[in-house]
Amino acid sequence: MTEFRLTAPRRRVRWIRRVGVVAQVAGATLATLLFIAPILWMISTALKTGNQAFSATPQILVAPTFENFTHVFTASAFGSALTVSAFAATVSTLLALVIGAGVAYPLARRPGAVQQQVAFWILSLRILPPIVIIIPLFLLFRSVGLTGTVWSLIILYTFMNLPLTIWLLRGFFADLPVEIEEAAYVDGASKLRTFLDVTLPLTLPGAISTGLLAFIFAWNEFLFANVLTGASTRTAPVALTEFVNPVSIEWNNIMSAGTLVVLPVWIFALAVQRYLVRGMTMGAVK
Amino acid sequence: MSNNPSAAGGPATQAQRSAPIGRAAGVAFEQVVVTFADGTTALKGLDLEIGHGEFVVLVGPSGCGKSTALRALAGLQTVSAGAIRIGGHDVTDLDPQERDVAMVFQNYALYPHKNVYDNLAYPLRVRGASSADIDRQVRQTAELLALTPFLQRKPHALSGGQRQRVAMGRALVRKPSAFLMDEPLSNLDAALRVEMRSEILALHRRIGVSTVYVTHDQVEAMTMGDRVAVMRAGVLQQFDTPKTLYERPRNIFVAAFIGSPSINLAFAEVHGGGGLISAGQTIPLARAGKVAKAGQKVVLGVRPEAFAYEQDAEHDIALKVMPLHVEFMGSEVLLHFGLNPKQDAEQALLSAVTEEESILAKVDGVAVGKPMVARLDTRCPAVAGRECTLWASSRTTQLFDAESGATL
Repeated sequence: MTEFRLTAPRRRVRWIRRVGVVAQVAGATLATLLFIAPILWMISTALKTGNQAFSATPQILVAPTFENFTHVFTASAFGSALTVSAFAATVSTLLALVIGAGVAYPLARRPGAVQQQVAFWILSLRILPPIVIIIPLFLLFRSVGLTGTVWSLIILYTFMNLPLTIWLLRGFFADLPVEIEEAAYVDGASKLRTFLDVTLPLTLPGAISTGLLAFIFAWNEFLFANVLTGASTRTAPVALTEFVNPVSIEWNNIMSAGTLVVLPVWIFALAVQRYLVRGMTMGAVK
Repeated sequence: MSNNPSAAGGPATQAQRSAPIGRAAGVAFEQVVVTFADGTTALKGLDLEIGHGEFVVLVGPSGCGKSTALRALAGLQTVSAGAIRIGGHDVTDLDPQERDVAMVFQNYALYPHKNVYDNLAYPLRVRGASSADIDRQVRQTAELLALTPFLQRKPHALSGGQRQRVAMGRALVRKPSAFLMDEPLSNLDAALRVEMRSEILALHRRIGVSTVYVTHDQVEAMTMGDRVAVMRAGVLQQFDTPKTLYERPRNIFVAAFIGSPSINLAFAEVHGGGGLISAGQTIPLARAGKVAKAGQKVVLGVRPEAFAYEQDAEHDIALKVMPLHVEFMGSEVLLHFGLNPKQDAEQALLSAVTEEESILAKVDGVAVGKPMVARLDTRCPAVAGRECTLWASSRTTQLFDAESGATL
């Protein structure tokens, strides 16, 4: 009898705990669906024909067709737009990382009042709404003859991303104990060698997460690309608008092109996932 | 100037060492001044000469400049004035990588992304050693430090003691001109610290490279150093063998810093007959009349172990004392007492606890007049609250100037 009395409340506790776990899983699943639903809808629409995509009764499961993808590449300049985007985003991200590291490292290693001011001033550049400077920038690039070229975008994206890369990298550098670098100096390594052998490998996870964020920004940027590029240097987000014309909105083509825009970033993020998690928790776990 | 190294206690121990391997070289600081960007001066003209193969400990309270001196020696801290020599060469303006010193950091500063083998190999790799040489020396060092089973492990998979060994190994692997150690044992637990202490000394005896060891722990300093440099506020107080520091401190600061429990200090006045008067009782210390004028205020310093509860040839000065409490330590007792026998026990206890601040005065930054401690035989019959007589040794009793704190 006593035993029964003892175990009964315990059983209830276990049952409550189990319900709690189910509720948590259900909540998490719901939240995931909420975020992933637009992407799933995009992919499913990308696999429909034009009529199916326009159907008033939404069709979720249809026989998939890949003709939209073929159409996007053959009937429009979307393929070259993807190439331009990839080029602009990759080059500007690498530049922002290299220049950003060069600025962030001394800011992190020589902390002081002046450095704080400089760092905040750098961040404040990011507060400025881009639309405010779009006309001056256009005039500026036109005067040096860079409008319509991919270089204008690379320059712009690099400098747009610099505040972000400087701030994030500064944090990662500051988290690295200075003694590890000093140990390398005493061990006989030069400053450059220390940076390459010690600082860089240890802050690589941070640099990769930073790079991914910068890349996504440059890859998805629409406003500047729309104003500064010409017909041959259109980026993917700008090219997407071509499927909206006075006659129709080609939802199936927009969605398949959209899928193609999402895909590279998704693959990149998956590939560096290991570093991403480490980069994001690097400060917390030493 | 109190920062001149004393001539006494030179590197006499060098002769006793086994023949040094490698290129042992002496280290010298010449009037080294370090001023930080914020204007604070961490080293105020440090003069220090460390012999070939000598093991020197820099010790002092936090902020005394001992770590700054070490960092200046390593080249990690820019020197504002003066010169640093290693093996006779002026290295003041050289970068750390050009100085051929090896350093063990307080937090070890191992390369977390490299395994033990690569950590040990790094100093050799940056010097462009051949991979055969690297392999031979890394394995030799790992063998010496019992690290062979852990060569493939990353630092995070090692215990504190093992990490400490890797840090030592990384310094040892390339036979540097000088070894620098910045509180290398402070992150270890007490038992391991004692073990590593003797291990470091054994390694030093084997390798015979000049070593500069920084610690804030005076016990570590006394047990490890051939010579110990006591520093305070950027100024060298005394540089001597542990024995000299303990027996003939140059000033009240060194006397109070070295030894545990700390030296007992009481104000006293020299009287005409050559003795002392302290807390109302006459202390027959003939030496007092020779080193100080009659009527001069002095500080009397007695080590806790200079007391006995019975008179004998060594313990010849009678002191009437009021025991406050008795700590039984097993092999000895620590008797805490007040020097003024006129106070009754209650008063003495009160003055020791609640009115402590009022009866204290500082001489050269050292508090004088705290309740005293005697380290006595366990047969000592003293009872708290009952006045008794203790016998102090006049030979080891020290006198300091009550104004400057200098030894008289």
